[in-house]
Amino acid sequence: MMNLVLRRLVLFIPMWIAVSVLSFVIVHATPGDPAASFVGQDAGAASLDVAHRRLGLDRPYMEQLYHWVAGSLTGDLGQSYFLGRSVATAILERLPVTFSLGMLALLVGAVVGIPLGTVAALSPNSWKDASTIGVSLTFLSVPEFVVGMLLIYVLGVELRWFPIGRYAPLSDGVGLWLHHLALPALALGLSQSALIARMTRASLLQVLGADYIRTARAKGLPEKIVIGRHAFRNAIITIVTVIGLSLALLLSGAFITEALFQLPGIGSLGVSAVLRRDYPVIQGLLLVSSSFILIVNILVDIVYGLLNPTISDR
Amino acid sequence: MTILKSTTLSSVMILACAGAAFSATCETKGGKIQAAMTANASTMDPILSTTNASRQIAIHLFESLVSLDQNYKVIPQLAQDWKRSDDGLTYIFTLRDGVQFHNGKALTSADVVASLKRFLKISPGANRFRAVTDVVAVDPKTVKITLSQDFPLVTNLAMPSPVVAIIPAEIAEKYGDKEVRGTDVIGTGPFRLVDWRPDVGIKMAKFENYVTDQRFDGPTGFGGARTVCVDEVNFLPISEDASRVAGLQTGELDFAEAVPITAVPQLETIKTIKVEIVKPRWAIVLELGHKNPLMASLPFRKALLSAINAEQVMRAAAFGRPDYFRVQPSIFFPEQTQWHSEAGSEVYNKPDLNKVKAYLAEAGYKNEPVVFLTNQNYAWMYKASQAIAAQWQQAGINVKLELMDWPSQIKRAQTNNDWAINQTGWSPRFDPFQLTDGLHCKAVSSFGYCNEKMEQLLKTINSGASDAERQAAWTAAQKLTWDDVAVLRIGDYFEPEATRTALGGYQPFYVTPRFWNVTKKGN
Repeated sequence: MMNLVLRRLVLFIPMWIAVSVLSFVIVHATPGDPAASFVGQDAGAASLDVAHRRLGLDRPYMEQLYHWVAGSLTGDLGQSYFLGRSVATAILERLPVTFSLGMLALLVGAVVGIPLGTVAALSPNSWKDASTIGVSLTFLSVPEFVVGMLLIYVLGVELRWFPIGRYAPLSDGVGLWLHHLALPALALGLSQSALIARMTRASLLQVLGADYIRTARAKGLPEKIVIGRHAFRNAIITIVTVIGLSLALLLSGAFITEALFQLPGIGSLGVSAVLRRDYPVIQGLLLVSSSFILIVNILVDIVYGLLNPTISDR
Repeated sequence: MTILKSTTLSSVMILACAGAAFSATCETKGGKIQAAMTANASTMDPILSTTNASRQIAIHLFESLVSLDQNYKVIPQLAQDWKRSDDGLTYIFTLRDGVQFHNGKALTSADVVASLKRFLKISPGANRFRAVTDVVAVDPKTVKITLSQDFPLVTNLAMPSPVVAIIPAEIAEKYGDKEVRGTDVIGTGPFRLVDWRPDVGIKMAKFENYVTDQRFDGPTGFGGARTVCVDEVNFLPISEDASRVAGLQTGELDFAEAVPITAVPQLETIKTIKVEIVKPRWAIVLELGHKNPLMASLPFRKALLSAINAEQVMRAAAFGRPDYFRVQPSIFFPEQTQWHSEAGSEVYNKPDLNKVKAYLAEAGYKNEPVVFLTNQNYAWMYKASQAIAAQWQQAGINVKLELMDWPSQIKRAQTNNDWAINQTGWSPRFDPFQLTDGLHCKAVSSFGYCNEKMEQLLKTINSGASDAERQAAWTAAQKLTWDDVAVLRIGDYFEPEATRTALGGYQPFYVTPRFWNVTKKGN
């Protein structure tokens, strides 16, 4: 087990270097000039020169690249052009929002998705199966922003049950925090629930067809124990993988949902950074999100081991 | 010894007071204003950016020696008065008494000297002040500015983009060419900064020790006698049009900048919401790539001009709502009485296909493609481009519309020569010297336009010549802009902004909402 985790951790270093070089190259290859966005559309050429010098954009390409990669290896992600703070601070400020949204959305996804998938798997090809699959297909195919806009219109503007376009940190109180995050978490969680429901159904069906389930039933075990202890325990491996992947995606920022609900998370930070060409922030975000994917993968491996001890021996 | 003459300050001040339209005192006090803005300010350092978003914040937090009134004329702000030497090379500014910074420190000439020196070194607005050779403190209340060459120094100091903000000397020295941040964002304005969280909001509070400028009857333009009635103002960047409109409807927002024209009919049915039109707002302008061989030909540029039906274009840009556009040829808006001029505009908005044909023949045009850069970041720019492109195509010009995002478009226009037309919008200029960048031979933003006659006129405009002489030079320059088809000005585009009626005394102005002398009812 430790071996596996260590091997994955060693992978971190080449990944970090590769992503920092790649992100720099990609970001700098996009047309556009951060200085022009900073100084404003009415600014003349002389003003741009001053801004280029101040932002360090007048230095040679290779020097800027070296500076960035070397800095990132020591944990220094540089200074944002537009946010008046360091990239690390900017990301740390936004993380709680994205974490809150991601966790809540995942909770919605799991709470809705796992029962739906289980119900469908227990009576395959019945009307229950068809309707749960129908519902999950709908959530999967309707984009989050459509669900989000419907929620905003009905529950926000018409009924006024939920505030829209703002965020309250956990420090303002759990109630307020939940109230502000409910709509975006629902919008995001419903599409995740569809994926989780489908994976739960598929994996549970596969397990239910296995010999040991037939044996358990033949032994006369009650159905509760057959499903709960024998089938579900084995099916959960696949479900955890899906949840892990969802988590990694959610933590790297739900770009559209955050933009729609004006939540100041990683996703909206990324969108605005791209629009105004805040190079250091885009690069920093790419690095941080790739690290998340790696970390979540390691965590998923650890959870596998806990759920099924045979895996960790491999 | 140069002789210094006092300015005609009293006449300036009478004009300023006449322009005051706000109520001078607060009917109610306290409360919080939630203002939805379209864009984020990129910095709290007032001198680093010329964007609207930065100016909107800076005029609440900071002050300059001089400012502009309701009619875009210069008024004193932190300066008590000033004297200009006969040769125009020396200025003596005396500071107002009793002015305090947000940190409680009293304003002295040392602060002015340090702030101006920092501005001259690192601000994007610094190039306008190339002729300033020295800024020194004569005594704690007096500052002397020396120039190598006469130019309109005081008007330049009054420009709000960027604001020539006065900050405490120790902060100017501490940060040097770095961006001022955090709790060091300190000025003398009627509001003080509480907190800036990018993409979340800018919170500012009433500066309790603000000393209202008693020389004025009330607020005017960016200055005058300003009084803060509310406790707090939050500038919230909400880029989604629909979210700004929804926030107004639910009452979470008190003010929304640039609401979409299409949402106006719906908002107008709500009694607690007031929609107003901001005039002037934008000039829809096409910049021309004079380095392009085709565009270098005057007959070809005249053909482009003769094909444009400005009224149709403006109608398209403003969703057909006549309140939101004006067909008008002058670079300065009619509201800017001092500089507005229709000289040379006989050729404007006179579509004539026969003339187009004749000009195209004269230019020897052989259906070469004409690359027209535009963007969708500004919906009105895109609509205007589409309408203009259609008119040109109809007139037999092979125009190729190329859609980009705004930062890429600016970059391409400034660095490449592979385009002919660049769609843009100009915000109101306050003084003709601000046009130098777009009309002067060596300026990047004039894109290769060069005319010796224009150079002479710009020289006069940028000199310390009398108002009358500068005005005459600008009228000639405006005429020459049409004769040469240096740029193509299509018309004025206005934007609606909306407030809840709970805001008392709010008046739209230029592109900048102002929240002093504004009350919030129902607290």
